[in-house]
Amino acid sequence: MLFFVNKPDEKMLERIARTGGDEVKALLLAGDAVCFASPCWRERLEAMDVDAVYAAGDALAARKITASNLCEAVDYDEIVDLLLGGDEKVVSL
Amino acid sequence: MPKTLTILLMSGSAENEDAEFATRLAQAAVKKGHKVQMYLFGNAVNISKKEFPIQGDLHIQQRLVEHIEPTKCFGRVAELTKAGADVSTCHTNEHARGIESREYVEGVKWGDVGGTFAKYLMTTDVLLSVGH
Repeated sequence: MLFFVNKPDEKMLERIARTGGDEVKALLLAGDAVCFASPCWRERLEAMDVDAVYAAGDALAARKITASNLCEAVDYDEIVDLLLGGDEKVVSL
Repeated sequence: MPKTLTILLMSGSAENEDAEFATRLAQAAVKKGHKVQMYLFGNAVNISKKEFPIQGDLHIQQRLVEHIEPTKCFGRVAELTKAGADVSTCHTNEHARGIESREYVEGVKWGDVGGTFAKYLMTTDVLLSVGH
């Protein structure tokens, strides 16, 4: 299940945990939500069964955020592939 | 295999990065051969209309002007429709903002929730909702 998140609100993580349940989750972060790509959120995300975090590269660069090694910076072409390349369910928060 | 991406955009270009993200993502999807349907709702209807630039002094500091100008999405929306994206608005949201009679950016279409957006939902592979 791929969660699109563009808001930096911690409540987003609670929604992801509730919506995703026991399923393995991936996050696609944009805008201010790329703050969740920083190392301080890594343990919390792993505890929620998040196995991959993708963050919009331009948003990371604009904020000078160094991403954790759970996170991969992606450009728009790669975001298209994440959204349309497979059959994974996409949830927008 | 080409798919259909529907983007429900609910923010205008001045309040956050949503409009920039959505339009750049739509451009990338069209370029890769996918079909894009974008529905402009809430303040996003503002990017459906042609800009009315003022004449003379803006009374805005140059640094701020240089920050604002690249965030405007009017041009990118026109490029999107020219490239084949289907972009339409919620006319009720236009009416609520007093801009319903203003001219659309090239290619943008009048729309409504019950008709246009419902059709988008019935014909899409993925729906991405972008708003605050």
